[in-house]
Amino acid sequence: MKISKKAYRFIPFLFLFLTVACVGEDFPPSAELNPEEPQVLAIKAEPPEISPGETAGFESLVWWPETDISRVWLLCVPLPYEDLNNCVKNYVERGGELIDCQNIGSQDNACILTQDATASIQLDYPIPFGGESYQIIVEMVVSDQEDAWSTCKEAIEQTIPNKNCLISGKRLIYSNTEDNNLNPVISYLTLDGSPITEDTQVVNFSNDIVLGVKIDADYIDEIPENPEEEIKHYLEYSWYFDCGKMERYDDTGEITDFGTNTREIICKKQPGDSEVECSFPQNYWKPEKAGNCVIYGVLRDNSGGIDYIVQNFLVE
Amino acid sequence: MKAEYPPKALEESREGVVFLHMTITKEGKVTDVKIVKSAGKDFDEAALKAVKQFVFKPATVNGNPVPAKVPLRYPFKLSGKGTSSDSQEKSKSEQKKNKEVKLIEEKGENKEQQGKSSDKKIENKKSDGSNKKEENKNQKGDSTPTAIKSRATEDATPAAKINSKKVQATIEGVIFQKGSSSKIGDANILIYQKVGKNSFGALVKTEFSKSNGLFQIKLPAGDYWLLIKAPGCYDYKTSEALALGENLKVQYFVERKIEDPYATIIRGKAVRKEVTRYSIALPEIISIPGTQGDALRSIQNMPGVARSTFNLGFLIVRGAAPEDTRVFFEGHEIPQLYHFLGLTSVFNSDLLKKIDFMPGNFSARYGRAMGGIIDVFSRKPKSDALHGYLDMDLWDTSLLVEGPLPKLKKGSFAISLRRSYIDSVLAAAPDSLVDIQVFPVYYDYQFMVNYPIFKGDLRFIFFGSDDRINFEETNEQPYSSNFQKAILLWQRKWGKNNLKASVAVDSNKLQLKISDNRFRFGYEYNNAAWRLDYTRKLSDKLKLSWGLDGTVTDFNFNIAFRNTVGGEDNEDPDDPFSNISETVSDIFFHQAVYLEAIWNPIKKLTVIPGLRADFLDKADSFQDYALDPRLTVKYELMKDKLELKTGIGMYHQDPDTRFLYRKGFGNPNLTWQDALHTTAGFKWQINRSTTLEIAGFYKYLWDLVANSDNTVMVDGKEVPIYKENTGIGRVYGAEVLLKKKNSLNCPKILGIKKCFGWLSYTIMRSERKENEEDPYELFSFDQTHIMTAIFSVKWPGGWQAGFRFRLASGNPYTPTIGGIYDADTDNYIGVSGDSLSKRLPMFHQLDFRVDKKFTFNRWSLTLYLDLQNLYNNQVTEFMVYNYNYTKTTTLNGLPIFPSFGIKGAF
Repeated sequence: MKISKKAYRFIPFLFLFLTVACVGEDFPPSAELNPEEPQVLAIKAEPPEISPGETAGFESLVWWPETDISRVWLLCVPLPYEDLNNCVKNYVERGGELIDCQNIGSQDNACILTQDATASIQLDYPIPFGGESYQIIVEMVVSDQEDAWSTCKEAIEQTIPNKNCLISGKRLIYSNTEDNNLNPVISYLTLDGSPITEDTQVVNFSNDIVLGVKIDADYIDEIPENPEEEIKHYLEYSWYFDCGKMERYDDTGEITDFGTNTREIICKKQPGDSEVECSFPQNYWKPEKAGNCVIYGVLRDNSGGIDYIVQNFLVE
Repeated sequence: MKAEYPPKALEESREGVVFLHMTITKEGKVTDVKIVKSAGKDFDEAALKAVKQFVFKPATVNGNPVPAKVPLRYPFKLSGKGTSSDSQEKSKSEQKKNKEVKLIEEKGENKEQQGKSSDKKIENKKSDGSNKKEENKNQKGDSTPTAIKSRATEDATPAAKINSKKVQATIEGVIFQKGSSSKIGDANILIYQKVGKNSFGALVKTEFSKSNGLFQIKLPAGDYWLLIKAPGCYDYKTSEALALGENLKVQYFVERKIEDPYATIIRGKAVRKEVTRYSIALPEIISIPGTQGDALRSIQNMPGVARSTFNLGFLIVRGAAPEDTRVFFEGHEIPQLYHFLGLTSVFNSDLLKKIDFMPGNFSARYGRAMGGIIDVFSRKPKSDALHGYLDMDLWDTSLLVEGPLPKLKKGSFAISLRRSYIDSVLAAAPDSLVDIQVFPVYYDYQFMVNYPIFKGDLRFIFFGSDDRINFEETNEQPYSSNFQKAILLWQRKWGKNNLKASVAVDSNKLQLKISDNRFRFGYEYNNAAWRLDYTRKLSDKLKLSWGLDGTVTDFNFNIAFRNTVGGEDNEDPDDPFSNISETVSDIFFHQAVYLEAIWNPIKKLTVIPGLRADFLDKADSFQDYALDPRLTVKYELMKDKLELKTGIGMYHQDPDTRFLYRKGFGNPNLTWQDALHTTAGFKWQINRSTTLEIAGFYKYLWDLVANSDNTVMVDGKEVPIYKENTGIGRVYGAEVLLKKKNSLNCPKILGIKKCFGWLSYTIMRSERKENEEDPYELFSFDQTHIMTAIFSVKWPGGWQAGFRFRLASGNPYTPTIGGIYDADTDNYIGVSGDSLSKRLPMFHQLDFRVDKKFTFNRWSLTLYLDLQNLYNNQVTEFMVYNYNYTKTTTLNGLPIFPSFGIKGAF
């Protein structure tokens, strides 16, 4: 039984109710993921940290089956007390108008980057508020309608998502430091220990399939060449499975429709070793029916770095 | 004063005995004198005239004077008949004894009360070996046998017929209160000749037990009835047979009518200085359902007190935030009143004398609070004998021992301990029922010594409390809070004057760790405090109170956000995801003085002006003083029937300490928060058993600490200001308290003899805004309707039962109307809808309690069952959202919740 993290999560509730109090009505398991609902799985900035004068590109991983989607990207430089849930909203409430970033004035701190599938920005001004680094917010709004901006204008200005407009955000680190953070890199997925090289990998129905992921150690930050001590680096990896509906992979090693999908990866380098080794828990997948499946994998380094991979499977 | 013998009676050589009933006020004066048995008009008038001049030593309860009803027998005998002067002297002597009677408070209308079970124990009987049959008969109620009355009337010369030469036997012993070790002093022992098997003969002698319960009576050999009358107790009747030369040693166990939960549970009266002060008399309140025997929890049933979510014990008084209400113990602040989760209070209820709850317009004696005041007072430990109890229920066990100080002739002590075992209970429960891995543990302790010195009482109190949460397997403690406090106080009362001085030291600590140590918050502070209160009567129309109180605080505060990755700290100062850790240490100083007058310009009018001045040196930036003028006016429109009252006053409160530091996300330029309290109402004594009290109130608050979006330049950098004194608030409403305070008009169901209950209702609205430009919005603790109905009944035989029904509006809440995906953390951030635009469903709950007390000679055993939420209402306490805020469900409160226990006391 896992104890520590689960138990810690209980603490706030202990301040709220006697220990035998209970939730009135449990969510149906499917609600943990809302498998029928569309969702944003990842937004990646490349690179996740830039210095003045540098450019960062943005791309996203969105699950919205059986429809074409449109996007609108916005840039917001938050005030010190603002975050991605109120940066644009506050700007509009202060009387700001959301216009193209190329036309904004010096007093504006939010604007529209683009309505393309990807976006990029180049920042030339000093680090805001005189610090060494600052978090710039890039907001992506995705819609199942043809024009995300016209459909979602009100949702964007109020920062309230609705069924046609999903709102998501990514922080870009804007700093003067020399060693900027890099994204981790997923080299490939493995199937029973072997790299998956096909665009669509064929697997057998009802077989236990062992999935793994290979991470490119060259992109793991802050692991010096010859450390004197063992150095660990922690990443988190999330699985999503789409065999007609979205599911997550839970800690028990079985694909279920609820529970956390996040696995912890420990990469370490022993003194004298030349290579970094990343341990990755075995993930067992047992397809329940034949057909097409898509597996999405998202890797995070907890410092803003993100990578993801999409792999098609044909279950026979 | 001796009664003048009526001239006509003297002329006619008439004698007689007048039987009277009278009330002795707590000042010792005689009121409400009634002739119970007349001896003729002239004798009656003479007796009445004399008795009304008497001044008695008042009855006391726990050392405090209380009014009491007492019977009195006034004989008139002629000296010419051999005993006239003697009888006058005896009468005088008897009266003198009566004057010295220390009476326990009589509760309710005792004539109608039924009681039973007295007992006696004969330890040593007969010195001459003869053995006679004895009888012991329980007697119900006060119903003195007719035989007594008739014979007593016929023979009005007690002791007159006793010839000292005939003393041939002695009966000596001690009178106990049945079910405990308490001895009953000053009990009246009436000895009658025994006629036949059950009849009373002549009154032979009257004696009183000494203050330690001991008595010794010399009598001729023979058969006697002994009738023991002790105030507040059922009459005790027994027969004894005394043989020639016998020295009979006995113990009698007299049953107190009740530790009366029905007599004076709350006194909704305007006492001296406040428009509304609800005093809770103890230990009467302990049997209220839902409080699990905890008197301090009963505060939550008072008018003006909102229901706390999950019954956590937050004190939300007249729409004020919990931190706006201060809790004192003997005038010194304590950091918490309840163990966490509001399960029980931090001080043993059985060591308390009273609790004063002032929801607003409180006296100038108290300051630095914009909400209400709770002041808890301890009682003297018992000094007559060693007492104690062991009380075990489902959640904790309490132990209390008290008694006289060993080897000293004066003074007393008390020790009390309580330790919870919720952790063990929950751990033992099957996982299918309770799947919880974290368990709360608490304990508290009290040590008290009282010693009379310098014509007053010197008391030392040391107490403390500890709360913590344990993880089942890792044995980690993510939450702990504890305090220890020592108070030394001396108080003296003389006449209408009162002096109370005290000093206190304490140590307080709280630590909180959340999310695998990623967030830590803690503070630690030590106080040294002093207080002096002095009241002096200057004239019949003017009384002055003045005093001072002060504190020096050594304060340490720390807060840390710890970014960990797989358990390793991220210490990179340039990394926006790295740790934040701040610590603040400081010394604070506070000093206040106050002056208050109680002025009666005319008999019916009482004017109470007061002024309080506070000086506070807190943090680096807060050095300021505040002046609070206050005024209360009361007018007795109908004597003892209807009283009108109103009050207005200024109240200041300093900002929360952590908000004074920029490191704590605060603003060092914050200043006092201000409030204006106004209250107007009346108290109507509807009949002897029922009172109605209604008070309307309006509070205006300004300079409240509010969140701010503004920034300031500090050392050339623009930084957020976080907090400003821009908040404004208002609270208005009315409180109603309808109270049935004694046993009159109880329903005649199943032999109910005692009953008590009250209905409190509050309607109010509490609003806040962050600055002048914003519109008012509901305060997060606002509850429009709050109603509590309590009713308890008692049957003979130690049974009592009661219910409590509560109804309260749900708290306002801000709905979350969607979620924004945070790609960096793979989480959704909730988007708030209109602030406090929705309310949780109305709360309602029925609680039930039943007690059965078994009383033995020297100890008692009580079994009780306290059922909360009897009909298992699913109370919505919080709204809960799914991971992306597209679906909601509710977090409910307790289901039906039993607590049962057993208490053995001696």
